[in-house]
Amino acid sequence: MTQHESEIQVRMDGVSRKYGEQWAVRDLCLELRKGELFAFLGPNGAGKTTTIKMMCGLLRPTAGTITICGHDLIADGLAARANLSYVPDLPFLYEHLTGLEFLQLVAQLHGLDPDKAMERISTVTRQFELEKFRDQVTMRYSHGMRQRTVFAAALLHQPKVLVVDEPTVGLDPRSVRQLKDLLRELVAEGTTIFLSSHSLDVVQELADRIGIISGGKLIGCGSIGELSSQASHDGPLEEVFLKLTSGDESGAGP
Amino acid sequence: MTGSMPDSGLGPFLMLRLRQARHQLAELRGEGWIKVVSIAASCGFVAIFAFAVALAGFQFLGRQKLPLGGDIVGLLLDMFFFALSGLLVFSGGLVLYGSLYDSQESAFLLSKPVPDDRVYAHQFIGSLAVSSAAFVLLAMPLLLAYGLSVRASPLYYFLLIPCFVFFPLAPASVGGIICLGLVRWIPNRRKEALAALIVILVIVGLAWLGSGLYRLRPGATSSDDEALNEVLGHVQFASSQLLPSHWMGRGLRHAARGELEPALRHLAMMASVGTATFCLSAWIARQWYRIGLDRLSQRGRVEFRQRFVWMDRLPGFVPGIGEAERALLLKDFRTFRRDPRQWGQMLVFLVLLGFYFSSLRRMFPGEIGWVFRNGISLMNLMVIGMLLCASCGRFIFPLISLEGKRVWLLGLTPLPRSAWLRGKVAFSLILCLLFSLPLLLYSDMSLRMPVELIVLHQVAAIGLSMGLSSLAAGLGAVWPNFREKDPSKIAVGYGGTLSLVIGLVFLLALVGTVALPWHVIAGFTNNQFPLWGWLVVLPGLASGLVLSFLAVTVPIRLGNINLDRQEF
Repeated sequence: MTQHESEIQVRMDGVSRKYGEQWAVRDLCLELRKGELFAFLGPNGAGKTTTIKMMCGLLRPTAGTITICGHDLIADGLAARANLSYVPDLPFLYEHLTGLEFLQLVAQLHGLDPDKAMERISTVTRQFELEKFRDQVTMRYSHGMRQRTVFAAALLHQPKVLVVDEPTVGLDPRSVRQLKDLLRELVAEGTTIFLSSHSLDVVQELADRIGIISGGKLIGCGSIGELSSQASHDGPLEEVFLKLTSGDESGAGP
Repeated sequence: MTGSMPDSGLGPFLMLRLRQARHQLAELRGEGWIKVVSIAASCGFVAIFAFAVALAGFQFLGRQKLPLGGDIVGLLLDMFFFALSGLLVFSGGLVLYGSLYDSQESAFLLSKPVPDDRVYAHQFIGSLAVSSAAFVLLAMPLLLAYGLSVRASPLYYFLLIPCFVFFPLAPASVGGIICLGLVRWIPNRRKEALAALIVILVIVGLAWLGSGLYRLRPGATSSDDEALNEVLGHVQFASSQLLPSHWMGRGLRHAARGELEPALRHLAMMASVGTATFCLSAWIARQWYRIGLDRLSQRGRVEFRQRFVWMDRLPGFVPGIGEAERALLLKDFRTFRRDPRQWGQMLVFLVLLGFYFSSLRRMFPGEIGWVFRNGISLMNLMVIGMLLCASCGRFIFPLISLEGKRVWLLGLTPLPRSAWLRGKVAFSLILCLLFSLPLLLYSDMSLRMPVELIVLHQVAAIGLSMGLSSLAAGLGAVWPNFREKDPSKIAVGYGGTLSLVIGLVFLLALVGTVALPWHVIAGFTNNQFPLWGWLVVLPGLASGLVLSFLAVTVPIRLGNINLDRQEF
């Protein structure tokens, strides 16, 4: 295995997905390296959520393969998912558990030994400032508290790949700032981040590379400069995005 | 650290359930003792009611010189457990479908490095608790009554608890396998497949009932004993040596007699088959669950054809409501008829009751004695009332809670919140009247009851339909659960259980005031209803009307007050 090969944490090879007769994602090929923040943009219904669900093993590609840290998601799903964490756009928490109990559950599901789990829980609790409310049942949490708890749970087992769907929705400016700092730190530590978002300013600020999907196809991929070249348009990301996706109102996804 | 393969078994899931239960109990305590006491009282009321009815039934059989430890009562027990198994297959499968394929929790767990069969097992245990709650609440009093009636040995009572743990395993697992299979193999047509399954079961049931009735046709049997033997022979399949439900009945009968070895043998067979069926369903889940989930999402956009359906016309005939409320009502009708899970169970009960009533005349070759006819007529009114009560609790009570998800739409319309409730009551009332009036008329006409009783029963059915509909819809607004989206879980929650008990109390009170006086007097006077009897019946009827009025107005008023206070 070459150094380049060992650096690849996520590989999508000719991934396609059909709903009925309609293609939601077509022939998607991507490689995400260690310590890279890859932003995934696209209009509503372009295939972003379908791609994320396939990356998390919740959906199967109609064609093609996805590997996480060298493990095929279909053939070796458990090992692949052990290296991955997913933060959905609508954070899920057990209403009748406290934040601390939720973190303990996630640690157990990931098979962390109890001592290590306690140590990691203390770390993420401090990191996400959960101390004040971690002993309350989560049904009383605000959106921001829920989001922080879900992020803390996602990072408990120090995943090599973090998939984040619309993380800034409903967060106040201070929380958004903290989130951006966190994502930068994680990338610096070597975590690969797959970020799906409509917040172009966040993407522009953080992303190493950006992929733009439209009508199920990857129509652009690269740094902002490379995307500008592909769009033959020199301007902010918003204009490049609109130029590349103009005319797409197909709504490929479910 | 991330690459480690977790193998923590079901431990985290059991811990999760325990912790959730602990917090729910703490929350309940925090809401004051009234809620705790009312839940205990509700469960106690249902259990005592079931116990009293069962005890009276066993005592009746005893008076008829039927040996309670004998084969006929054994066959009745086998039939009871067989019917329960059938219900558990359906309810277990339906509840499990919601937990496996339509819950955020499952999506969360499936994104973790947890084997699919463990996610299945976790959801199975949850759905088993929900679907067998009614089983425990009704079967436990019946079996206690049986134990007391036959003076069972202590072994019987000792074995009851493990029986209740293991008996639902096999039917609920079969329900789980059907659910997994439907989604795995025909995800796009699973509703139609379920409807087809219900129709096939109804047809098989009708064929079975029909063949039984043919054997009992007038002239085919010469005595009641012969007819009874024909009936017992026809249901003999429930005592098949291969059925776990038979092992349950057989094992408990041995235990009642203190026969340790055969009791343990039969119950161990039932428990081991239940466990093996569960293991098989978990193994199937490992193969099919994730694939089924995937196939379920592959549905294309099915072209929907709007067809004329007579049910959609019904809201047009409801007087006293505006166009907006009529539109809400139409929405409820459309939602109802497009979900076979809702009407399928109603249809099965409707057809079975229809056949039962039609067979009343043929069941007895000679003329049925007046006392029997009188008693059966009252019992049929009670049966229809209890079905109305159960259906309102299951289908109508959760409706307001389910609207909570759509409150952004309803709440912004120029409709007062009271209109939401009126719509639900009207929806329920139409279905209840369509269900109860013809059935009751058919029952009374089959039994050749006098016209005045037929009118009295129709009035009682109208009162029951109005009262039970308003109680279910109104109390659904008093104790809404806007967090839960599974109606079956809303129905078995705190408010649902309490509403069911209040409905039962109303049912007993209404039948007791409107119909019971007539039946008692006519029973003692051998159908020569005396004029003075009306001095008892008419005040009873008036009391029943007052009760119905209160059952309509009070819960709706309380529901409206609570809805107006609600913040969404």
